[in-house]
Amino acid sequence: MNDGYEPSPDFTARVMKRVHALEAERISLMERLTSSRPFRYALACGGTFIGVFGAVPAF
Amino acid sequence: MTDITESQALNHSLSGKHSTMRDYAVTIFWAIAIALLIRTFVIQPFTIPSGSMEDTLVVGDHLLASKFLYGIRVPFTDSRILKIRDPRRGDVIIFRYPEDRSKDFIKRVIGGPGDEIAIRDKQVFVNGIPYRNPHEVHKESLLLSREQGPRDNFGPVRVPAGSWFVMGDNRDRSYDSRFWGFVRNADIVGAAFVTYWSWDGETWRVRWNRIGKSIV
Repeated sequence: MNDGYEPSPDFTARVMKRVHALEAERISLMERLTSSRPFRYALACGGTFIGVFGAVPAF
Repeated sequence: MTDITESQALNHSLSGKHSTMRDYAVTIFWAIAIALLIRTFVIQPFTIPSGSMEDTLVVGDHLLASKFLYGIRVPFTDSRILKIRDPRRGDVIIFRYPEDRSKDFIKRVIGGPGDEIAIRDKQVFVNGIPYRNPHEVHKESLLLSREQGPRDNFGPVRVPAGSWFVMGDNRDRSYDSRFWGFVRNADIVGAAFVTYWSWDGETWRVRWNRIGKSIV
């Protein structure tokens, strides 16, 4: 442990800026969409609906 | 408390990708589980590919069947739990075809355990009394003799315990209990109760008037 360590006052802001810049550079729009919670829930609801309403033939 | 550097904080933020994958796995698991539970224990949709139940059900109808009315079938067994009631004469039921259980059939219940069923010149008799369901139709006037087949002259037969005698409403063009015997209680899949969609494949039109129609 470095006893003399003292984080700079804008430490968080600088980290977040770098994270944001890196994410924006690396993650495509599609990836951002697929990782969003509403999109995931909508997909799950759609899958459940199709799963429930996939009809079986009855002769 | 441990000190962290900017690089460590950056790496930590990027590990969020793994949790997204996990979230997806959990969501997919629940979607499959809910769909399976509903289909197995609550309702299951079916489509009609043949005309054996005309005019009650026509080719292209999509219907829902209750999976719990006659009791929820315990998977991999023949037993049922939480039964509301037994099938009744006139119910439209879906069941596994006794000669090929990978196929589902839909027909109307004509007789239950202990009933004596006979057909004479297209007229059904249950326990010696003529039974005519208001939904039955005869699309052929030709009468077949007993030697020509069981379609118009059949029985009498007594329905064994735990079994059901079923017939299609389109009496002259239905392959039913007259030809292959009784439906075992364990083979009943559910009770058809409503049409939720109907597509006319010949005219490529939706039959709006059939949507939401209850099946009686």
